[in-house]
Amino acid sequence: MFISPAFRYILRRGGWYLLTLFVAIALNFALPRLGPTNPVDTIMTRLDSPGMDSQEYMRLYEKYMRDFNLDKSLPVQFFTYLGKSLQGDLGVSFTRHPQKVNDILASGLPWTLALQIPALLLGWLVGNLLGAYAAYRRGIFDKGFYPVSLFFSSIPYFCFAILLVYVFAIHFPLLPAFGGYAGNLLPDFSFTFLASAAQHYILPFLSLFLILVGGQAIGMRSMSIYELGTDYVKYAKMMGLGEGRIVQYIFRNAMLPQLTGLALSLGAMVGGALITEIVFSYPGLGMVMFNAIRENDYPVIQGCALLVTVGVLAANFLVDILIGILDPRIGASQQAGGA
Amino acid sequence: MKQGHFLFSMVSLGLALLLLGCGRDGDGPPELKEFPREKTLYVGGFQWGPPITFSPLHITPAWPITGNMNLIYESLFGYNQLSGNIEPIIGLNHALQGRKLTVELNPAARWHNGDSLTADDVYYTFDLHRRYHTTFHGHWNFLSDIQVEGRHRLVFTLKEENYNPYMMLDIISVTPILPKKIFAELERQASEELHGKSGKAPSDDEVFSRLQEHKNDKPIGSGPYTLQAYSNQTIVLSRVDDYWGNEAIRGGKLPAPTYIIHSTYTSNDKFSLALQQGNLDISQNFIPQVWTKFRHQVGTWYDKEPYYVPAIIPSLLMALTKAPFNDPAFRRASAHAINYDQIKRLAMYDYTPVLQPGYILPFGKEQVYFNAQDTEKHGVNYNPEKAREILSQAGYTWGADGLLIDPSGTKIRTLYASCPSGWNDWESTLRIAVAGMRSVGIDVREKFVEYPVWDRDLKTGNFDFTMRTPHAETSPSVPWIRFDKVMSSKQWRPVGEIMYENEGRYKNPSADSLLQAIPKLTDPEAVKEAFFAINRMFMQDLPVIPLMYRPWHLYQFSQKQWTNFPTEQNPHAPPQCLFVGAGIKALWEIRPADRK
Amino acid sequence: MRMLRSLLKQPTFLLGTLTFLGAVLLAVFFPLLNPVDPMLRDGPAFAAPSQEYFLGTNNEGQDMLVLLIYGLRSSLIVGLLAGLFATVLGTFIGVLAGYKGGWLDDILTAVTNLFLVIPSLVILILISNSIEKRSLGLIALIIGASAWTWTARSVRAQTSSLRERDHVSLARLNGDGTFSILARQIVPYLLSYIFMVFILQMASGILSEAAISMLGLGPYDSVSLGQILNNAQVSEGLINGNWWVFMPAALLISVLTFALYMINTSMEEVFNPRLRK
Repeated sequence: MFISPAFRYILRRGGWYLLTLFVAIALNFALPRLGPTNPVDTIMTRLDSPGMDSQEYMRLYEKYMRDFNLDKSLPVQFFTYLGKSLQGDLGVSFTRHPQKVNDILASGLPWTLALQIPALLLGWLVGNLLGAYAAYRRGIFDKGFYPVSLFFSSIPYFCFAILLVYVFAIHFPLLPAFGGYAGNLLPDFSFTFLASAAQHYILPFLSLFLILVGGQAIGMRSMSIYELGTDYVKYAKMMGLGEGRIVQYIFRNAMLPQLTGLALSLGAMVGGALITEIVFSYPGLGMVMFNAIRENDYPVIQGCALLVTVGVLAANFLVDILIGILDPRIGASQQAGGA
Repeated sequence: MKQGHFLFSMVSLGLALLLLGCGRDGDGPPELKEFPREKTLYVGGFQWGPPITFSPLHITPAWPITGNMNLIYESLFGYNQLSGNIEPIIGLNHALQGRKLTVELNPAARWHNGDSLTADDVYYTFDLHRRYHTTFHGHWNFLSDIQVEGRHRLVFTLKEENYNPYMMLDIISVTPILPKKIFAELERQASEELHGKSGKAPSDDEVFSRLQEHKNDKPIGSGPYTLQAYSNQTIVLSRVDDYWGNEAIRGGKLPAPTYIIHSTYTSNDKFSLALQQGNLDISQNFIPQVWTKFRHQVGTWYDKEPYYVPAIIPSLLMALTKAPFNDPAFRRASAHAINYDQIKRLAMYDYTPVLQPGYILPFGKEQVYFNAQDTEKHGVNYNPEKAREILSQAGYTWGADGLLIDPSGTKIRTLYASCPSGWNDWESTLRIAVAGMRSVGIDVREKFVEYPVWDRDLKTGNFDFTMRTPHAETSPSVPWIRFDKVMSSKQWRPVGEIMYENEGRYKNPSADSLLQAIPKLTDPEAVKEAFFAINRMFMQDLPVIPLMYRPWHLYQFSQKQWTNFPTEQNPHAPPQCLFVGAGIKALWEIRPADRK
Repeated sequence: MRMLRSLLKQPTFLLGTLTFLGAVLLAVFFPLLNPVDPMLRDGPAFAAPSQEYFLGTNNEGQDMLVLLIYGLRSSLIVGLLAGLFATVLGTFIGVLAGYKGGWLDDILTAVTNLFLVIPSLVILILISNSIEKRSLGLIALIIGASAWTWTARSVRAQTSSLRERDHVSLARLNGDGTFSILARQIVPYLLSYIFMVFILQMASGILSEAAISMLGLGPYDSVSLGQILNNAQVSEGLINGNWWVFMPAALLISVLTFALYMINTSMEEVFNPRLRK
């Protein structure tokens, strides 16, 4: 049976991502358990029942340990967790008992996706276009643009977010300072709700978008300067090709490494964006995770970390596929090396 | 453009998921989705995460099920921290004779479904807490029995060996009364289900676990509001227009807000900002420099220092069973080394009057128990010189490094002073206390730990110094209970076992007998003398070091949407956030603000 | 030398280096010349900048200027340690994989790529949350341990291009051991590259510390810039308009990172002649 080289490449990458996923699951399982307390301690703090004696306390403690399977050995806990996660069941929250982790994550996921995907993609696109343009124009535009972008990419995400809130929500109260929608609304499909959600979207989006533009533009600028020195550009210029046309060529060629770069830094970006969510109390996964960490709620921490990891892995995989399709060299090397 | 298409499809995917997710976000009744701002009272600071359950039998039900909020479920009486009395709600009056407390119910009281609220419901509620290990189970340490005497009258019998009328008043003003018809049915279902599953009669514990799983998100209460809806961000209550109490106890009026919404933000700064911007009307959270908010129409009980009504005493607990804390001289020196004025100014923004030695508040209803002469004679205040003097008199010396060496000649180990991490004002307080104690050579370091760790170590007695408010509320049993919680050894257990009070493990038979005697006294003069005596003992022995006064509720309000909030000048209700205890009567008094 | 001279001709390099060195000198000498306890609370709460308190005071009446300089010092320490750790570990794994090739390369590359895609901040949060006593050094270590991956990756790529060079082959023929070759024939040729990576690692170390401190997971034994930011947030300084408890620290972090980025990019331009124009 004939398997196209690009497809074989994708299969190999897919297998590799599965392995990564397994390691990520193991880490997610192990790391929260390194801590000095377990979630039952958290639950027990809420039991402020005067007159309860130690035996009663210990009896309840052990009951919760049994209920949450924490009395089992670690391998047993791990394989139970692994088996259930693979079936898509992330368990039940300890501290928000009896809420399901799946439900808690489902309430946060849409907000995170709606915030991060557009911010990432638009930031990447705009940043690269600007970078390519700056590289092509050089001169005054580049002299102003370059340090500004560099500075923007140096600002920590959350500092910028807090600054935006201070300027546009506190000093000039133009936009809501935090939250996903106004407090007098319950989520539904009405126009009022969507309008409110859109209003609350602006600042978190901008805080991610602008910094991303800065970082991407810097990278693209260097790449494009490389490309500018190549023969085909000189040739195209000699031929008198239009400015837009040349930038387009440069963009396309410099984009591949930028795409790889995006894939590699995706994890870091998503992490930074989670902190932005916390600054804005945006009802997404960042907030869910932050709360769960404070309460030592293993299943929710695991679920969040897993979801974020799967998301980043999936995005990476997607970029890999794109590269496989866009980059003719991959097909060639697969054919040569696959023999 | 290829990228354009891709981008477009990803954005639409995101939006589609957003919409999909929103549908699932709220589990509440779907009807009303929007609440007019001008008819709604926004409150905050009582619930810090998404609501999980509204079951009054759960350990931590969402607002406003327990915690003395008389909005959905009501208690018999409500405590008024200004007068020190309990005021009628479901109960009409109460009378104590010997060991019998008779409570008469308001015959007009009824449930939201129209059924009358009778003595049977009250009996059932208390009995529920007797049979199951609920949060109120401990009340039965003071109660021996309850009898129903007719439709609207009950008699509570107090325990002989633990006779305590103070506690009895606490008990009848904090226990929300539940409808028997509904909860008895739940109990029956739970035990039937369990029986069906296992084939044998379930134990009380099993039934109780099962009962706690019931979310109770359509509660039938007796109060002026009911649960309308909730989501991860909000809990919405709507007014019950035919609430029985409107006619029977509130003079025929309706409470002003049609809706009360509790917004669940996750950190203090969000609450402060919301209050400042008028998105929150009542907030119960720590606001640094609250006076800077006055220009944003934010108000507090007093419009000047101390802004709030001080009521509780956060203190520094010490592990009294081990060295060096078993030496009263060491404790006394430590207390002399702490700069209380700095705590007041820098950690508490002057939200506390000047701290007086002892464990009696020198103002309000406790003022009569404050003895200025004793305080002068036995009290400890900030005086590092004195601290050094006490230490050297007791035989302590200082090493070359300036650190303390005990009388036997061994260097005192590094001690840790702990509090939960992230409790900002507490961390500040502790840092100041530590700096003071270090200045006299006590080798002590701050240790900020996660709340669950702190809590476990506190209960098991595994700490050196730790910060804690022994009695964090005010109730009829104050100030007796404040002393009881740091000096009584009736629940005493060795370090390593759980204690819910007196975590420093103080043990003094004469304190015990005094604490047992006080509740039995009836002559006001004798009570006064007894409190003088116990406070003297406290000041001499220092079982804990008081650090500051603090309000019960950090009651603050915004006048952008509503006006006529209770304040010092306009004290139509106590500063209890408009729904705690007797504070609820304020809801009938506030008015919509004039909007320009 | 020629490289250094052309580097010094770069205004961005000069600006970046001077800024960074200035910060280092300030952090080292200010506490020596001015031995005050940064935790001293002798001012009023939230005093605005004045003659007495050049950058005002915070909620606990502490002098913000002193606090900032001590914070700067901690952040520099974290940056240096984390950067050093990440660079040494990453370089070691990178050169080993790139030079040896074969199955060792396969395994090391797989492990590197694996940790590269797992969001490091998530790991960082999980670990920080689990550790009870987070000292400054420990935090630097954790940050470094979660950041070595991309150093390893790029160093590996550089090493494989060096592997077949004549001087390396010669050393191999001479019978030199692997580690001797790595140390004498490979690493010296990559030094400028490794230094650039180190600069970037330092910047990301400073940013990472700020991020976890912002979540309240910062070091318990010292003041860092991230903790100043966290405290500004928790004490609601900014909401009340007390900009001086937040802005200077935020600016300082950004400027520090900016300076490091400038050093990095200017070096890139010098070592990569095609970028020059």
